[in-house]
Amino acid sequence: MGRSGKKKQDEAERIYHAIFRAQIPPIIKERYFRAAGILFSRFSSEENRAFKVALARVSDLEALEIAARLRRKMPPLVFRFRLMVHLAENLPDNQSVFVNSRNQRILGYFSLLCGGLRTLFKSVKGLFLLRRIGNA
Amino acid sequence: MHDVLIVGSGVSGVAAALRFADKGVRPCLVDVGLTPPSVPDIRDNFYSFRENNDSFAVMIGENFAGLINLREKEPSVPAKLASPLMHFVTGRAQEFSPLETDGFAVIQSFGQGGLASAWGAGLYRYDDKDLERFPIGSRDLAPYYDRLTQEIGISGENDDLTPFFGKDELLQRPLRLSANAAKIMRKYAKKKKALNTEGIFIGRPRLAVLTEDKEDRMACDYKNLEFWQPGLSYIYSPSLTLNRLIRDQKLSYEAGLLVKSWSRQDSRIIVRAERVENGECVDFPCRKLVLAAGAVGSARLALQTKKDCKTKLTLLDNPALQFPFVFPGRIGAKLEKGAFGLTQLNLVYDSKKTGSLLQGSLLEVTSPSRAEFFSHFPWAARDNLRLIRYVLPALVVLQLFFPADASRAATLWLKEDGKLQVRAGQDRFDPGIKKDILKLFRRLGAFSTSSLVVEVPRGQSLHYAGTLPMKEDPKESYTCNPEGELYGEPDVFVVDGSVFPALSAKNLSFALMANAMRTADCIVRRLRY
Repeated sequence: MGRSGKKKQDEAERIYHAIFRAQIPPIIKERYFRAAGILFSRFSSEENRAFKVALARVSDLEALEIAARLRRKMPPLVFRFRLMVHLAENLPDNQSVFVNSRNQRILGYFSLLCGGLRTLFKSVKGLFLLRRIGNA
Repeated sequence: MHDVLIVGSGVSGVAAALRFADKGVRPCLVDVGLTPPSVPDIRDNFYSFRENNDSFAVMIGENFAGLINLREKEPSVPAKLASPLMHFVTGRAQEFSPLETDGFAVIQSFGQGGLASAWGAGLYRYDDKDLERFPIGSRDLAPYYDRLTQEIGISGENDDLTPFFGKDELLQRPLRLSANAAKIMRKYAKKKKALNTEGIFIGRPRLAVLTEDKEDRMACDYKNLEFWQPGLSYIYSPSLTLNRLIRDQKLSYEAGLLVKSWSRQDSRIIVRAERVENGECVDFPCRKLVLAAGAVGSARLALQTKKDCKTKLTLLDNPALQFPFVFPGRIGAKLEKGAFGLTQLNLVYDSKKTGSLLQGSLLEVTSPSRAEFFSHFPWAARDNLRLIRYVLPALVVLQLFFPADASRAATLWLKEDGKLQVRAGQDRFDPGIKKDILKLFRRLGAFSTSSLVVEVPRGQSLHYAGTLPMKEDPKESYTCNPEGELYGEPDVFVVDGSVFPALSAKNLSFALMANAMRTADCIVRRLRY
């Protein structure tokens, strides 16, 4: 595997981990590479450069992504997160992440409460990170 | 020489063919007719299938066709058409009918059955109010609805919406309601009197979906495959009628041909088509030509035939708003995997603000991929997954359609390079309508905010019409007489949405089909006398 292949592998692993807190299954990695060849050409070289800088300098990609989404910045990062979620949904092991298969109303509400607070924290952190890498 | 040649196998072309067959005329139907790829045999509910199988081939596809909307900045096709197995419906459209658009997303189909191979299946009778700007009335269409209901198999109920949708004695029982929709109906029943006084009516949709077996077609089995599998026998598609007519030798079907233009030779019409696989030209002589290539396709044919790059035609589509609503009491509920994936309920709003009837379709969100919602939710990635898991079971979407007329329509013209150009018209939604609908649903126990209401990109209602409108006494090119005959083009008839001079908020498909049958009757009379 060449240097760019390794970088892409690292990129896929980090994005998957940022979303699912788990190791990326090999089949998703392989599909991510194939999708990259078809779908990533829409971004300008400047957008891609900014994304690569961010990838090298920021460890909390989830925080960076929510800030980028809110500020409509760094489309390659936002796009890659969306792509990874689409690819992940196809695996049987991930169904429980997407589908609630039993009634759990209290857990549901509690989870949303925590999620709201967590998003607030991640957004503030992400905005700070965006500013730090010069994209705010 | 064919007595009748029909171009296009969508709802209107096939309805006309059915009428010709009923009357003993055997037409020839010319069509590109792309067909679906081989479909995996999914016998389970789609969610159960996904628990046990990798669903990549069904949901995304090896060439990533299912991610078409991810590639674009704005969604370019409705979610159902993005599904890889449904891709044949819109496949190769840019190749066969290149066009450029400006603020108006034209979705064309060269698949067998046209856009109705992936439709919402709503079928509503146009009444006299809907036909106000037409040179025909509801009595002209009435004789054809019952025949169509027999052919298609329509489920629904004569309920509070009957005054708007028409009484239908041949309906199959309505589909099973989802828990969210049932909740709305319960609340509506309690507040019905007050809501009706305010012009709001809610009831069951009329859908081309079987709830009882019909000949060799099985009733809906609630497996949630509506977005993912073409050719489900319980959802009517024009291909069903088309294939039956071919089998019974009541129709000659010429597939793989793209019609380019027509010309005249003595009293004959010569239709020129091109084989899509090798570009070879084929001529079809006929006595009567029936254009059913859709409002955009038929307009292109008319413009190409005249080599006219100057005339600008009108193109209508229903403007629409999309409202997401959450039932707080159902947050964290188990996802209803067996909920029917298309329209659950219809709403009619006799709006005093717009002075017209608006129609809404309430949809469950069990069919689209869960990932589709990821980009619509505003939280951090992991928290968006929580929203998907816990909030989606409590979510319904209302699509509210507005009427359309020529005054604010898009325009369409042919350019020198052979491309069609479509430019959006001016359309503004009255913000008061959003408030009214949000208030109404609060009373029904469902909540949303105006910031979450989305304008459906123009053109994505897929209710195209108005390019070759019918008029009482047409005196100019690109208009039709009440029989559907194109002005200045004797024996060329138009039966698709092109002839509708205005669109009511109701889905036009059923009225289109009835009108196509009416025109077929006119043609049969002319052939005989």
